[in-house]
Order: sequence, then C-alpha cells, then structure tokens
Amino acid sequence: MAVLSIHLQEGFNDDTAVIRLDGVERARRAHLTTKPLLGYAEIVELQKPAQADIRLELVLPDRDLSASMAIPASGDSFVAANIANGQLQLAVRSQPFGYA
Amino acid sequence: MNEHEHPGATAGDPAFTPNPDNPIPNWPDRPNWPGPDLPPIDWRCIFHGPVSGRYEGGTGVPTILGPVLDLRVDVDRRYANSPVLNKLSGDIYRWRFGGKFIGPIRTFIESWIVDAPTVRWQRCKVEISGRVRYWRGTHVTTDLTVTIPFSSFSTGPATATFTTPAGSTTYVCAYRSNCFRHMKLETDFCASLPATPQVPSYDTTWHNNRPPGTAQRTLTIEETYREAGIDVTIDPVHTTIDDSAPGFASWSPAELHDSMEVAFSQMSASWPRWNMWGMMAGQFDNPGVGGIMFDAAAAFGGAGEAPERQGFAVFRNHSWFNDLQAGVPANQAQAEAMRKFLYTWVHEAGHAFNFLHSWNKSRPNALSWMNYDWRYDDLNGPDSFWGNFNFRFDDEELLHMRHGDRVSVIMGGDPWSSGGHLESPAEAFVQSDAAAPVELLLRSTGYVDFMEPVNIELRLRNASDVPVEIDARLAPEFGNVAIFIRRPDGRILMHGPILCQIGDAVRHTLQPLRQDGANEGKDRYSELVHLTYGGGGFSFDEPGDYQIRAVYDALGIAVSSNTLKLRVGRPMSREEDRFAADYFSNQVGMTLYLGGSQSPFLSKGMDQLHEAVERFRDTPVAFAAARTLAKSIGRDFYRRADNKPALVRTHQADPGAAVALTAPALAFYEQTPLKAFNLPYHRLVRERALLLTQEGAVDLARKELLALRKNLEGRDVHPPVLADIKAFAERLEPAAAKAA
Repeated sequence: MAVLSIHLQEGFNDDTAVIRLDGVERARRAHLTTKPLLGYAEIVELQKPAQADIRLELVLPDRDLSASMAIPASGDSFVAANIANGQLQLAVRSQPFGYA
Repeated sequence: MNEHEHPGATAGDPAFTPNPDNPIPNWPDRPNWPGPDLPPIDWRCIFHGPVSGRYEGGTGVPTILGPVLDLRVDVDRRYANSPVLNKLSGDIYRWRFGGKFIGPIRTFIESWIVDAPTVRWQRCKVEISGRVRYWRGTHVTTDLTVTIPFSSFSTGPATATFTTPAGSTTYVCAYRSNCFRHMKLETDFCASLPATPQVPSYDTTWHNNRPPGTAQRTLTIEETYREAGIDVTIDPVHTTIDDSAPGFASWSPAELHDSMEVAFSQMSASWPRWNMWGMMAGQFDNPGVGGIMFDAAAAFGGAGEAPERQGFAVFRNHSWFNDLQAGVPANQAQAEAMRKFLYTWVHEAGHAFNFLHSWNKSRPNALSWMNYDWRYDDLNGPDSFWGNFNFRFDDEELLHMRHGDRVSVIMGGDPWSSGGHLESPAEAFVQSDAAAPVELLLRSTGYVDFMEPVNIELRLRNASDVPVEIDARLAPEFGNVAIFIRRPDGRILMHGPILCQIGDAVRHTLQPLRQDGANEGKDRYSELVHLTYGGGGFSFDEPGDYQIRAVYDALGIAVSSNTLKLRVGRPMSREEDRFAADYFSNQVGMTLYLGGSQSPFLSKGMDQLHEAVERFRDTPVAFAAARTLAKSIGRDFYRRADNKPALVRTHQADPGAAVALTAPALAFYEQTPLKAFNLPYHRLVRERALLLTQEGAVDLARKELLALRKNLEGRDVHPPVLADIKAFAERLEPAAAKAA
C-alpha cells in the first residue's frame, strides 16, 4: 500500500496538529516544536486509502489554522507542512525529503 | 562593500592597486603596465604568490612570557575558487607561566576584526590599515597598520602595529599558512558499513547538472574547507565502532554523543579546541536524516551535553547514498550519490563551526553548503540548486568561519546557534570581560502573553571589593544602555528609544558586598525598562522565542549582560488575533511608550487600551493597559487648543477612576509571588499610593504600601528596598502627590 508521509517542518512551536483524511481524523500529535538542527518537528506516516481522491486536512487548533489539499491516489506522497507569516502551507511531492 | 573596493585608496594614489585578487603575478601582463597609476616593475617582486593567510608572532620582548598575535590577512586571492573578503582579523594570546610542572601556557585573550581595511600595494610590500573592532568588552579606539613585505622568494614577516591614544604595540609575525584557521578532523566508522568509500571525493564535472563554467577540480572534505580558508587535516587513525548489538537498528542523538565520548581521542582534552569528530553510522532514528551535528542543546534536536559542536554523524544507509560507489561513477545516479556524500560531510562539519541552516538566517536563497537543495528548489525551480551551486559557503558564512570571534567558531566554544552574529550590530551579543567591576543582569518573567507589554529589569551589581559609581539612569533614552533583541526569525535589532534625553549622570554608588553579608542590597541597583515599543515599532509583535542582551556603558564602566530568553505566547483566540492588527499600531505604541496620553492625536491608542481592558479582563494584557490608562487619567493634561497661544487644561485628573482601573492588577500581584513581578508590583503600588493621596485617602495608600512591604519581605527583597518603602509611606501627605 502506498505511503502518505506528512513532514511537519518549519515554524512549529509547542503546537498540536490534527491530521484528517477525507474528514476522518487519522493522527494527532501534541507539543510539536521544530528542531532547528534538522528543520522538522515530526514526520507522520500513514497508509494511503485505496481510493481515487484523497483529501488531506491539517489543523492546528491552538493557532486556529488549517489547510487542506488533494493527494494523488497512486504512489507514495510526501507532504511538507510549514508555518510562515501566520499561514499554514502545504506542498506535496513524490520524492522523500532529506534532512541534514 | 564588495571584494574589489578599497576605501582610502584612489586611482591617483601611486600606491593604489585596482584589483586585489592576487595582483602581483599579473602586473606585467596588464596593457597599461608600467603606467602612471601603477608602481614601476621591480624584478625582485614580479613572481610571487598572495600575501593573504595566517601569520603568527610576538612583540619581540626578549622573554617567552608575553602576548602573541595570530594574524589573518584576507586581501588578495590566496587559493583557487576562494573569494577575497577584504578583512584583517586576529586572536591575541598570552604566554603565562603555569608552574614548574606545567611550564608556559598559551592563553587566549580576545579576538578582533578590521571590517574595511585600506589596502595599498607598493613595489615589494603591501600596507593594510584600519580601525580595530574587538568582539568582547570595551577598548579605547585602536587603529592597526599591517605591513607585509614580499619578494619572489618569500612573504613576510608581517609587522602589525596597534595604535591607541596611550601608545602603540608592534608584533612581528611570520607567515604560517595560506589558510586562516586550521582544524583536525577525526573520523570513525561503524563496522556494519561498506569498507569504501569512507570519505567523499567528487570531481565537480561528474554530474551534468552544474553551473556553466564550473571549475573542474576534485573536492574532498579537506579541499572544500581549504577553499573556504580552513586548513582541515584528517587524522589517519580511525576507530571501528562495533554496531552489531542484537536489536540495535538506529542511532539517537544521545547514543551518538555517548559513542563520541568513547571513541573520540580528544574527548578528555581541554576544550574548546580546533578538533572535531565525525562518525559514519548506519541509520538515524528518523531514516530521513542523512546526517546530524548532534552535539547541541536538546531543544534544538541535539544530545544536550555541553561543551557543544564537537561531533557529527553521517548516515551511510540513507537513501541518498544507495548508489554510492568509490572511484569514478558509472552513471549520473552514482555521481549524484557521491555529490550528496560530500555535501553531507561538509554540511555537518559546517554546523560544528556554528552555522545554522541558510533559511534560519533569513537567507533561503543562499547557494551555500548550509542550505537544503530541495528547499532552494521549492523557491527557485526544480534542480536549480545544483544547477547554480558553486560548491562554497556564502560570504557571511566565510566571514564567520575565517574571521569570527574565536569562541563562537572554535569547537566546544559558544553553544550552537550563536553563529549568525556577524550580521548583527557590532555590539550585539558580545561578551564582557569577566573582570568587569559590575555585573549587568537582565530579568523578566521569561514569558509574556501575546500583546502584553514587555518590561525588563536591568540590574547592576557591584562585583568588586571597592565602591563603584554608576549612572542610575538605566534606560536607552539616556544613551548609556544599548539593548539588542534577537527576534524569532533570527533578525537582531537594536531597541531604539522614541525620545532621547540629555542630562548629567545620576551618580549612584554601589557598595561592595562584604563577606559577612553587610551592605546586602546596597551592592545593586535596578530599573524596569520598557521595551514594548521603540523607534522601530513594536519589538515583540510575533509569537515565539526572543533573546535580549544589554550593554551598559557609562562613567568609565562597560559591561554586557546575560542573554535573557523571553517567549511571547500566541493569540489564544481568533478574536485576540484580530484585535492584534489594531493593537500593533503606532498610536497604541506611542500611547504605551508615553504612559498614556490625553492628546486627541493619540485618542485611538487610548481607545484601543480601553478595549483591551474590557476584552481581556484579568489578564496581564488588561493589567498593563489599565496601568497605562490610569497614569494618564490620574493627572491633569494641558495643551494648546483651538490654535490659542495659551495652554489650557483639557483633562482634569481623576485619581478615583485611575485607582479603580488598576485594582485588578494589584490583586494579581498580591496573589502571585514571583520574583519577576517584584518591580512591577512595587511600581504599581507607589503609583496607586500617589493617586490615593491625591484623593485624600492617605491611610489607604499607606495600608497598600505596608502590605507591599510585607509581601516583598516574603519574596526575598533586600532590607534597603523594604526600608525605602516604609520611608515613602511615612512621607506621604496630601501634598505629596504633586511633589512626587
């Protein structure tokens, strides 16, 4: 089964994140803080549902921020989530992110 | 200034050299040579390499005990593919006698830099001069002139003369290296990994995605750092680390640090030192991590054990290195893997030189070893990083690594993440001399709510055995205190006051603290400084972590403070977030700065503060807003109204309303026994006492003051402060309000 890897990267500061797929909560992480040595706070790996259209929604309830996007049905997907200028930004790609 | 500019030298100056990039060998090839703008040819000096590099020497005093200068000259091209930064810098050491069993010890004293030297090339020598900026403490104005003779056969010695109003000191320094600093890298390898390649070796033309015109050369760790100006040698002795324990699959930062403790041969030596440990391991806990400089604070993702920046790890089993092969690559995938292998080693060692990632230094578009290729590509298009990257650190990083304050560069020196400070104002985040007669301490609650005004306690304490006189006006407005704020995005700004006040120093003597405890309290002096709003606007208008540092410089004493960490909370609701847009306005800022105002020009600011009191009841934001309003409501306000020449009273003091406004804040401070609240509590009660006295309620004012005294007594406030509160209460009388 294909993997959906959600990388919570820059801008997290003691945050709680809720991850929903097609409206269903699939993961919740608390006390997320970006590690500046590497540039991410947490990586959440989920199995992709076997369906054509997948809607990913990321919610930061403490900040009253949320963002959503469509995820390709086929292949592994890697989503970058960054908080910048008060906005939660999502971007998806098919290659994994690397950190150093 | 770019690397080709030389202030002070002009084309009409016979000593002028138009191009500092290794000019000597090229001179005869110039079309106008010899010409009126260039010195005549001297055959003895025609063929010669650069003068840039490292020099070392003493003052010539005929004793082994004395100062030593490590001099760095960066004015011409010292090595291929290596930018010229046009700087002079150095470290001063002193030989001391460590006893008959130890012998002479070389002790580091301080570092300095000349930011914009004037360079004058002459027939067989170069003269470089400029103003010295020391990284620590305060020094009298110091100018430096360095003269370096050269011939076809030798360079140097460099004569460096430091001149102050009190005299001059000259060092004679022999040429040591064409690098500015040196570092020894010890590399160890896990037994489970392939035998080769152990370290990277990459030909810059192997991969097709590269900048046009890339100079072909083979880059290793040593060669990459040599281009950056650092002489790296790799210890030929390696330790093999047995990672075959049953059940062991991946490394944590703590395990990496522990492994360094065991394997690193320099671990038990004294630190800081120019040594670094690099380990090639299998896999990190997060398999997406290709390398980590693990030796940093736990909050940053490191192991959390000081001293920091001693070691790093590269993870051979990361997918980046799936195609890694020793030798010439057979395909582009193998070339890419070796390029990434080089990148990871250089990048992690860069962290140990105290580098943050490029985007954390507000340089997300930097073509640097310290950027991520995919982050750059996200901003600039696919494959654009490697298509433009010239295999180098950016100029700011080179400046730090070559010429930065030794303690912030050397391994085991300053904690990681202090490496961005060369971009900041010269005085920011410097460290004062440990022998300063007074200590400057910053204190706060450590946390403020979003929109809550930020007030910091500045405390000077006598750290000597003799009385010390200070200027008691501890505020930026008087020009004797400079305050620097590092914002969450890494930018450092100097908090500039709105108003500047000129006047004589308010001299106050700090008594020395005697061993028997006598003079306790008289050895220190505190003021609360408002940093909420300054010449640059609101200083704390973003949630996140801030660092604050102050420098006091008055009456012949200069001292820098501790670094105060302050966290600004997030808006707790959408309503608060919306309100913030109106709150962080110049009108509110000025109203807060002025302690409230009944001027119609600031009426919107006062309205916003009233709204804050109503909306955010029983919160620090409301308390602060109420206090500002109370100060303004409680006193008369006069202004020229309707273009009439005479001042008229446009607002009549209403002390009763002012007292009522600040009642919730008083209750909060009375019930919250935090040291950081001592000063605001004290100040609030004094303000209320004056308002109550205006109302004729002197007894109530005294009652609040005595309650304050009792509460502060239980919060370890020193007796002189308590005595002062009592005296203030006893002095209160109906007329006191105006006098005070």
